[in-house]
Amino acid sequence: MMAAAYGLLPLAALLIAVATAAIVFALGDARRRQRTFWNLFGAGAKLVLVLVMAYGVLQGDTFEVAWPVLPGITLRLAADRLALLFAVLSAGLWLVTTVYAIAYLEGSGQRARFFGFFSLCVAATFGIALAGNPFTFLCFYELLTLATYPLVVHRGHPAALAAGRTYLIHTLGGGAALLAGTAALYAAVGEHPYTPGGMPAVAEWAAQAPAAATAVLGLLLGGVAVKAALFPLQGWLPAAMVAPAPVSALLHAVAVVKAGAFGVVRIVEDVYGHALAAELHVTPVLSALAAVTVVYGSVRALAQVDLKRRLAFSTVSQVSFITLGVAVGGQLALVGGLAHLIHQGLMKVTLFFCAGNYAETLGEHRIDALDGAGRRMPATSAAFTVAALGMMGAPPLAGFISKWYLGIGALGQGQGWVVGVLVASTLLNAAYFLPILRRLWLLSATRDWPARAGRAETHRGLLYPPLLTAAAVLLAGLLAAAPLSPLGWAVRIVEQGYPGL
Amino acid sequence: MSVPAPLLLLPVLAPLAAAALLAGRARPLGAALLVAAPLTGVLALGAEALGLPWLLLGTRLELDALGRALLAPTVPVATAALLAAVAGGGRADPRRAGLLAALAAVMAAFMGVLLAADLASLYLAYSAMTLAAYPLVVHARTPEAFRAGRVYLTMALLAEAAVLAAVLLIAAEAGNVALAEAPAAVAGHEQRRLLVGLILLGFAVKAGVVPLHAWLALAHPVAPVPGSALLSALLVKAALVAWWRLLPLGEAALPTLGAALAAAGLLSSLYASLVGVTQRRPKTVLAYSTVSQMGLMAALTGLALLRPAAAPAAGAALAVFAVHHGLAKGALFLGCGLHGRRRGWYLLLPALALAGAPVTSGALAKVGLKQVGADVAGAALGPLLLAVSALTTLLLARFLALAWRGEGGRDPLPQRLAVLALVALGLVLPWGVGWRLMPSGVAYALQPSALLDALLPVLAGAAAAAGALALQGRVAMPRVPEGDWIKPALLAGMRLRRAARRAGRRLRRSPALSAPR
Repeated sequence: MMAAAYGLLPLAALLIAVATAAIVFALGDARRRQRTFWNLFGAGAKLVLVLVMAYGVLQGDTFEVAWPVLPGITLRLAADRLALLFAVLSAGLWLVTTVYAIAYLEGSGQRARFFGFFSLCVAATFGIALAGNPFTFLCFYELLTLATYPLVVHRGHPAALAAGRTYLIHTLGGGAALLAGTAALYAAVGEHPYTPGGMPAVAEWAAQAPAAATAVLGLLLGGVAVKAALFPLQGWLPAAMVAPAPVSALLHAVAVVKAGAFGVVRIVEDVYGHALAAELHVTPVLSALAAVTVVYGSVRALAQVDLKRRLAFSTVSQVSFITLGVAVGGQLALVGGLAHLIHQGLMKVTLFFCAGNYAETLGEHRIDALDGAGRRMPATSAAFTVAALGMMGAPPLAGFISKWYLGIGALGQGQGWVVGVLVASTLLNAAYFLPILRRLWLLSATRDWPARAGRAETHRGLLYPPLLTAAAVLLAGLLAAAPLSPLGWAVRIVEQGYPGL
Repeated sequence: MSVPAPLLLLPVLAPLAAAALLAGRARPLGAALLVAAPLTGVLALGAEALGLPWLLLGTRLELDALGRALLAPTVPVATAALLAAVAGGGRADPRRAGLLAALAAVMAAFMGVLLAADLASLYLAYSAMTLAAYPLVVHARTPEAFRAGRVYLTMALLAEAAVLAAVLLIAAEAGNVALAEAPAAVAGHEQRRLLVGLILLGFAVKAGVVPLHAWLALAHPVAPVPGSALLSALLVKAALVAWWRLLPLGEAALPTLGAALAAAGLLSSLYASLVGVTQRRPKTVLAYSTVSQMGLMAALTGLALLRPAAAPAAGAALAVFAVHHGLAKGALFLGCGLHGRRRGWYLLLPALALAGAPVTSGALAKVGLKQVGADVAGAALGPLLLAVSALTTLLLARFLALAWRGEGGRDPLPQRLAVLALVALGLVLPWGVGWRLMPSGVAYALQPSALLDALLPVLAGAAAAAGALALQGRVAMPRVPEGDWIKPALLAGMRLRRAARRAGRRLRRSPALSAPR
């Protein structure tokens, strides 16, 4: 009995998020305390279950739940190491973001709708993480699109609605491509679970019909590239900035862009296999696109005067490092890309929390209005500084570890040009983050900000989440060599899952 | 004398901890601890290597020979600079806590550079030092300071891009290599020439090799006195440390690049002395003097790269030179912070030492350089070094003339003691280090013929200075802006941007291009 329940943990964790959504919807707007309780309970319980699964996987247990929907089509949840990398990130940051969102949205309307879709969005992300085959992935991927739309347009003003429209056009287009690609794949080879190194059936098919296999791979990657904000499909991401700060944090760090990047990992490594994708000449294109996106996003970020917009373009740039690590090939670059999946999430969630704090506490959205904010909000600004330096790739922070592995991995594959991209990214990141730090810490305030309400510089629910994630950014870099760091976990995934790379 | 290895972390952590105390209520305690923090560097002399495999990418801390020698100027200069900052005239400065924190951060990072024994840690400490020095440069918050800061940070970060590429190239073949094995790894690297070029270029900005020296001339005059003392006496040496740990010195001969570095260093030295003489602010003159002296140390590095057999002697000569220069330059900069009418007397001895007058530490340093130069390049270098020495004397005479009379006022005793202590240690420590590292040089430097050799260029320089004094008022001195090429370059950039904007506006307004509505 216990053993059976243990095996069903993936389903339980998924259901917790769905149930939280249902309860929150049912409670309605008025019952704030109960809603807060269920939100926190759901997020906490899911984190515990995910950590139990992570421990189990470390011990060599396997978790798998399969449910045949139609003949030949199964919904399959499987917790392998790669799945748990993403699941731990999403569960952990869900909890933190929930705490933040409760404090952030205090007093604004439509909170039941907000938190309901928030939970649904996390459920979808979790499903994407644990999807065991392309069909399951597709289902949750489309669910994610639908669950995030209400969050993007939450404020309801015309700008938000316009941004929501942009978001829907992009993501539904991507979803259609993914649907077509998945259907074609199933038609050609039938259903197979994800296989590290590529599905053998796909390899056989590609040997017989390379053109068709290439086209399907293009469709699949094109579908996930929208959410991964790969150039030229990145337009929705800066537009979606109108969403409230916790949503942006979730969108940029965990849910949407990460779902896209994770999809790239799954398709390249577990459906086709890197060797086959390289044989079909898809990975060079993918790495070139990722490199272009890295530089393009940073260059656009330079010109932004709105803090959240600058952060959004920075996301465009940074997420592509994951794609780059996958596309370049080789164990070390993949380690760098996978570690960056976590690192970027931690850094970006911190930055958006801080941007939200400046907006909520000081009422400032523009970068040039932040002069001297470091004196008024030292803790928030310290967290922002750590995350921004991490984005630049300054040691000993998380971003440095990603760049180190991406760089040596690419050089090991004989692709020295990637080092040029890394260096350019570092310089551009310095060019758009360091001026913000200078304003925060070195200039003196020119505006009258509301005085502190209590001893803390802002609401504690807004203050502790960024401090926590900033500490994680520091520790992920400082303790990278420890076995359970994001890097250590990524190394484990690659060594045991992809020994042949 | 054996010290537990974990104490190797203390020189890095102690200043940071003291700076953290400064932010809270325990401010006097923090200030006291901060002044004492550099003294923990002495502990590192007796400690074994420390391995922290769980930290970063596997951290190792250990003091190599150059790091050991450099502790000799680091500990006293840092202590004196912090003492001057804590006790000196800046007490009324509203941003004093920020200044102390920045000094502490630079100090900790520099100690980190000295102690780092693996590639990633060296990169960490070096880049942290780059960023930490920025608040020092812009401390005055004037437009001039911000301009200097922008030039400094832009140049430093562009250079660090080359450093990052070099670090990744090394790591791709050797992983996070121990620095003791790094030169061999670089020597055997597939892309050795590219790699060595990147290393040379990447650290050349901090080392102030002309034409990458412009930031020095802007940053030193605007930084507060303790800050410029740290920058000029210590921070620039971090580049030398990095060169000597990463370049394949003694492992492989790279004649072209080595000769290029040696030539660039010597030219830097001559050029900086000439430009420095035309400057009107004492701290700017000192900044050019730093460029000039760093040029000689870069030249030593180039000679070692040129001829591997000369590397050990060059390393010893470089260490002695760096100790001498660090102590003398630290004393001169801190002396510039004094206000007394007769502050020149504090400056005289270190200035004579830098000029290389007989029996001073400068004479010893130049003996080392001359011996290595004669060994590698033959007699050709002799006249060149003579000219360098004469110009150095002229430059320091110019400095003394500008700085001799302070604007008047009383100086706190601790501040005066700090300068005096550096002057006194400058008389002793370089000889001690020299005795350990190049005993033959010490013996040679005290022979009558060597004393005469040292005296000649100083006399020539002094004669030139006297001549200039006699001509004063009759011949106009050419004016060279601080940072020589940077000001025209910045102006040109601004004009270009303005012209581009104007052209863009004109294009938008022209009827041919505006789309019909």
